[in-house]
Amino acid sequence: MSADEGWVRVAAAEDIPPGKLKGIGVPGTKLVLAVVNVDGTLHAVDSTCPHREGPLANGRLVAGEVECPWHRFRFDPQTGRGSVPDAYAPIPRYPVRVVDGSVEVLPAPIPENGATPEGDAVPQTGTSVEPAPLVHGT
Amino acid sequence: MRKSPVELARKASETIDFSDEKEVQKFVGFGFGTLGENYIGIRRWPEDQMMFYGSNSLTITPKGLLTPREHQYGLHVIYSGTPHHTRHLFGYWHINDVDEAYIRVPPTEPGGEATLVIVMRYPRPGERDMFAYYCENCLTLVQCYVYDSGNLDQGFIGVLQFEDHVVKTFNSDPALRTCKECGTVHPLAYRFWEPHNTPDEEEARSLW
Repeated sequence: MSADEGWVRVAAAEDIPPGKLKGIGVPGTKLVLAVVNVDGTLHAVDSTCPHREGPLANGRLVAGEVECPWHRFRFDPQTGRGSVPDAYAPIPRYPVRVVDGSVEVLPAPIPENGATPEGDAVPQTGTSVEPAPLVHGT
Repeated sequence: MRKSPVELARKASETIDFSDEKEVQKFVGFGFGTLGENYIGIRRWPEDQMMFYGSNSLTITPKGLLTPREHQYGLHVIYSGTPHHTRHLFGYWHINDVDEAYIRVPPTEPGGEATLVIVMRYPRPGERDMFAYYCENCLTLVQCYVYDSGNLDQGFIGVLQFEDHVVKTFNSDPALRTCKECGTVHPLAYRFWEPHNTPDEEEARSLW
């Protein structure tokens, strides 16, 4: 598999500045993600809250955590684990990267051990790829 | 000890004889009796007290914080997963993995007590009771404690014991009660089960 195979462009990087959560439907899939920018680093998590299947993509970023708009359950986008309640069912995370000003995701969840399906840790880097973290305002 | 599914099914057609006070008393108080596949609780309060609790019952829904409609008697359902709290009655937001049906029945005679019948299915493995605290200022979820009611197999007494644990834990450290979002400190928790509350916890009952 090449470094670029499977990656899907989902947004312009400037659309997800630090502190922002953006709900995104991944083209060509049924996947809906909440993509967040925590202090300049992008993370992508599945939109479905494990509590009552609320839409995390319509939620907000609170203290670096994704908050469900329905009942305010919160998840750490860096690990997928629930923070309140503690150790609540984790949400799947997806690889995300920035290439030439575009946000791209790989529509295959990251295994629990943090490795991507290609065996690398996220965020991805490569030819013409801007290394994460993503810093805006410069 | 929890009844087996076979026993529960065998007793599924049982009903409560409300003319038999001895029978009714099995379900009165904070406790719940098991009838068929359901927990049944019966509360009897003066009519004004029943209306007071009804008007102080809150839920958090996808539309935000809601107060119940001003209906007086009849059926009301709190659907599974919905955080609900009755101000001045129990000091936490309960989140149940099963539906809770509330049937309010008026007094049978002027000045008599109104009756509230609560029906909820016995928890199955994997179903939980959660005790949550939301910020009084911005509704951020401050803490949530999860009781594994469907697996622990301890009946309603287990829920009562967990209530005690939750209140003690939440009240033990102001940091646990402080909203990460806006810094508001949540009032103390308190138990429904009044005799176990400290004076400070009973005072909290008047606040929220």
